[in-house]
Amino acid sequence: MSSPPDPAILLTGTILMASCYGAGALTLVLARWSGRLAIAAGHVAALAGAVAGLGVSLGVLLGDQGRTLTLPLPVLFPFARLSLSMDGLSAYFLLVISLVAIAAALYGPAYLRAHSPDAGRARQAAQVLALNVFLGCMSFLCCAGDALTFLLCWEGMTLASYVLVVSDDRDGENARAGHLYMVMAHGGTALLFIAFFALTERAGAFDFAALRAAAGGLDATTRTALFFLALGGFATKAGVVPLHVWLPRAHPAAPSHVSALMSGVMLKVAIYGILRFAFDLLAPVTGPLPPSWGWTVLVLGTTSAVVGVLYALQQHDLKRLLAFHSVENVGIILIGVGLAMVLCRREAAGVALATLALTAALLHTLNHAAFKGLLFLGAGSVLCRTHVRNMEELGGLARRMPWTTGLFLLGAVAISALPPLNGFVSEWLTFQALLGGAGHFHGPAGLAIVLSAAMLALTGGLAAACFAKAFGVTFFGRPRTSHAEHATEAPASMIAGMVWLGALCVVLGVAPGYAVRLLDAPTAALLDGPGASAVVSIRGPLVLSAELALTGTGATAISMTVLTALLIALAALAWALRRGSSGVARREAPTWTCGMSPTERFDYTATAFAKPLRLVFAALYRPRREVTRETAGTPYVASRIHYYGEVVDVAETQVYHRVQRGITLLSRIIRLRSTGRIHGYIGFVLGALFVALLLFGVGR
Amino acid sequence: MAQPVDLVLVLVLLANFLILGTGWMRVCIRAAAFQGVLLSLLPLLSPGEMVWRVIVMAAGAAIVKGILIPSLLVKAMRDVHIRHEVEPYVGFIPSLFLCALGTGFAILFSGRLPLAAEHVGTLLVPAALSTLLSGFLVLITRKFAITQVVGYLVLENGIFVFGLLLIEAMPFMVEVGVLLDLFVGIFIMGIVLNHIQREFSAPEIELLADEEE
Amino acid sequence: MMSGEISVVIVLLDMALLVLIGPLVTGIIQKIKARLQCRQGAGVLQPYRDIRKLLRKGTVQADTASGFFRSIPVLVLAATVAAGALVPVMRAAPPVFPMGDAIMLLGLLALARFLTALGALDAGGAFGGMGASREMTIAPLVEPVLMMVVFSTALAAGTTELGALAAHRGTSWILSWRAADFLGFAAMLVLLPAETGRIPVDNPDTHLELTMLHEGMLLEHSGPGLGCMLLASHARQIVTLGLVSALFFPFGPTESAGAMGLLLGAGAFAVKILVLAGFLALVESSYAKLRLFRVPQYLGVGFVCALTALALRIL
Repeated sequence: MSSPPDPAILLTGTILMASCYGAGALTLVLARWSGRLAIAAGHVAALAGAVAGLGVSLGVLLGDQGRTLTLPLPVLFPFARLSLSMDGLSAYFLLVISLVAIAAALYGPAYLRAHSPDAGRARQAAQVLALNVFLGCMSFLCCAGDALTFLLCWEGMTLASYVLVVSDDRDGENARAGHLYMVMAHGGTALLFIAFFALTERAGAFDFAALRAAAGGLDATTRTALFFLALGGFATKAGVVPLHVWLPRAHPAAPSHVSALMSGVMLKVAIYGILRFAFDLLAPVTGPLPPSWGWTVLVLGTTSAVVGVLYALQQHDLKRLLAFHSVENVGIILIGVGLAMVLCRREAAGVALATLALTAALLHTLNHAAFKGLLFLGAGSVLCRTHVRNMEELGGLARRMPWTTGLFLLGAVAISALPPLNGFVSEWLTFQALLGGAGHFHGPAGLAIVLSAAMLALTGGLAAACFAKAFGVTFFGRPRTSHAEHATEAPASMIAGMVWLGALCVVLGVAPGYAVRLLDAPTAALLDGPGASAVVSIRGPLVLSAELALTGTGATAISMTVLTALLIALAALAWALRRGSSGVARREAPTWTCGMSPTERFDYTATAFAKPLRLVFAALYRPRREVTRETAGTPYVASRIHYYGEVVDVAETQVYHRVQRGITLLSRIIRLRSTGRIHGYIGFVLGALFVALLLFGVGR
Repeated sequence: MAQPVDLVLVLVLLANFLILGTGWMRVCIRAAAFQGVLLSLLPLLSPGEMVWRVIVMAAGAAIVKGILIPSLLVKAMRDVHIRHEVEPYVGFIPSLFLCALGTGFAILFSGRLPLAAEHVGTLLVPAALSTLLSGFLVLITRKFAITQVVGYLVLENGIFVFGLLLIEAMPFMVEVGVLLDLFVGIFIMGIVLNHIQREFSAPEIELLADEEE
Repeated sequence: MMSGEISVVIVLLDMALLVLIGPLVTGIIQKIKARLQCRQGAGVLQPYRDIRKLLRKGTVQADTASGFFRSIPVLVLAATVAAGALVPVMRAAPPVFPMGDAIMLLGLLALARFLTALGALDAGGAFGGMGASREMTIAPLVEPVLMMVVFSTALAAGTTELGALAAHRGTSWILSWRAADFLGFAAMLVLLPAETGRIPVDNPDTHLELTMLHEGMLLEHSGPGLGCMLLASHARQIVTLGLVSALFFPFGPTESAGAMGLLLGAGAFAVKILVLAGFLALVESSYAKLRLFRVPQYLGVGFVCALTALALRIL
């Protein structure tokens, strides 16, 4: 055990982190002289901030368990003191943020230059400013010690990411995406405001300790109502189905390293919020959490996982596909969180299982940040070299961008939950937790949990299909357009950002036991039980086990390390077998196309690849398809056939379009009443004021 | 516990799934026949006195359900030249899902019933309910007259399984039940063949109906 | 809790045995099929001859394929064989040092399939894409049901490690079978042709583009690469059969017994595999291949069986 680091060092680190992000934000001044300098300085500052954040979080996680680090901030408002407080959970999320932020900061400068070399200095400065504000707000949100800091950071995070989403405005699309994002995000924020202020009202103070004390006196109904308000707010941000419609539009619109941050990290901040509210602020003083909480989260998670991956399958826009996969992965995380909520604070076996579930969820948080970040960065490399996001127009990039291809493949294997990479590890833990939960409950609840596990298996299989498509169509085959044909490898600094995340994927996959050690503090703090490594790696860090030593039930152990070694040895053996046996030289020939000379038109497209699954799941997709034939003279000779196919999100058509129609109708009615004269409006204001006063008076 | 009985009932369940999941009418008929034969064997497996009447009943049921009715159906199918593929109103996968759901509920429900000690933990009640449900599903979701008959057969098989619950308590009742069963089966068969006749108004069916008389 | 643990040597021996007799199983299935069709058929050793011949041949590679293409057969073979290390063949106990469980096994098979599909897309051309697309359509539908079958057995034993599962079931498995086991086994039998790429889901014998799934993906591989891919598909088949045998009919020494016990285990394994191979051959000979869009319906029957098995186990 390392000796606990001095709090003073941690404080210094925190201040350093703050000042770095602050300095990064201020570098926009440099843009007056040189846009290039501003970009470089801003990203260097972000990198420094991220490294400082990494240091602080590791310090807390590896140091004294259970210690909460608090740091009062200078007084900004007369009515509340702002403060930071960092416990295991905050530190863990800070770690996730910092790890991806390092990659984004390495990747960003070259990307911004390569992607939009003609962008004005003002825009570049705005991007640098927003990036640093975004990172700073996310980092401090996780360390917030009171409601006000939390909400300020939350709002700062939203605004900064909005700026980044609309900053790359080539067509109206991004502006519309940003608009939708803004509306949805603020709808969610409004719910959070209500939840928080209902608590602060009771507590008479803003800091979390007071809120916790105030929540202790709540009755069950209010407690549950507040939880669902907060869940609604956080779920909007996390992109949980059916609140996800903004996500696949907004995430791809931002510059790619920001997409990586939004998908890999910003969604996790919402998960942090859910955990903080459910297990800490709103949790009853004694006894288990209300069952409705956990089951709701479990069902929402399962739905998100399946729906997210099903829609991802039908996307042709590479970044949009990745964004839909974020919906899926948030679902997987929420499955773990929900299960932990259902099981926690029961008897010993339940607590151990809850620890297992929460470990799975938190580990998946980190894993998803790593591989989704990697994939977005890879998509960004493709985008900045080809300026095309539609994978039907790509193809053949493997020969032109080998590094990007290899790293994207790594991410694809990881996200498809295939061994030996990290995605498999957290899904394996989730499976074990679900199985344990099913055995624990028996009856209908157990069956529901097992079905959730089956859905998780379906999700994994579909994700593999989706990435076979996305990767194969984008990188393999022949280039379909000249954009793809003239692509070259991305600059070294961008590759460096990807290598960092790729290495994380490998390390987290091959030796997950060490990462589990970082989860001790958060799991122990949230569940009042044994830490993660006491449950998951009791047989040493190289073995993952789901055996619950406390109760003697369940005994499954796997070792990713041994398996990886075996895989490597077998691959070497197979390579030798293949090499050693054949003495004949290799020669090249065109691909077999039944004797015709092959062109890129022979290659399978993404639409074609996903067609069988589109038909199998037609009940959900309700695909629209229009085929028009132009005939030349006789109806038997078609001169041209137009095909148009589309899959629209059911949530969008069934829920949002109806809401939209309702609002439009309402505004039409209001418009009939509006005369356009200022006097009338002032009259309305007076009337409203009068009614408000009346209500206030009656309320007293 | 009662392992052979459970094995038979599992096969009965599998026949249900097959009937709902197959697109071939012939497979449907055969599965229903198979189910009928299996069920007529069940009284023999139950512990208790092996009275000769039970054996005769079982043999009779097996012959009627397993050979007579199916062969009539196959003949009817051949004679009226209808398509050999089942046409469902509700798709195969949704009806399978419904069946799975129903079976799940049946298992849940049977856990709550106050059963005789020897029936606790066996599949009797779930299998009976599930078979009933499958019969209804076939009746509701399939288009053709022949599948309607299959539906009735399955439904009736479900009722038969329920009857088995009482075999120890009232052996005679069960025998009567079996008899009644057969009677109802043939009765229904007659009605439905009439429907077939009306639907297709083919002379071959008239011949077939004559045979029935 | 655990009755005994088996040394690494035996695990590796198991794995080697699976790889070595993998082609033989295919040969036997082909032979039975030939006999059922009143043909003489090739000898049971034919798959070995095929692989030996392919390993000696030169490679013709598509000129559009990337550098990844050459490593794909190697990786596919490695992943499949590694899955073989997780199947208890001659034993009914977990290994001394944990390696992986049934979920890992399915994961490794999925990895092999994913890489195969990528290899099919690498060269470009319609056949590879078609095969990959169809394979990746069927696979996500098979996997959850297979997982449910594993769960239905694992729930009783409280573990997903195949050796430990086998130890839990013990050698007296036939007496301890309950309704859930019967149904789970029925589901497994439905899934078996799908997972091994046989009729009625896939047809391993044709190279006609309209009927094939797996073969379509192998079209661009040649020489030693194709040899590796074939070996991998034989291994995949026997690993799947081994999974069935471990889940439902485990047999073998539960502790580090002597050579006698191991031999007995191996013999029992051979019998089990032979029976399952006979089943596959029978199914292949008596049914036609289903249309692609009938396959979900076929798998639906398996799904219902697995779900009912789970419900029986848990309710």
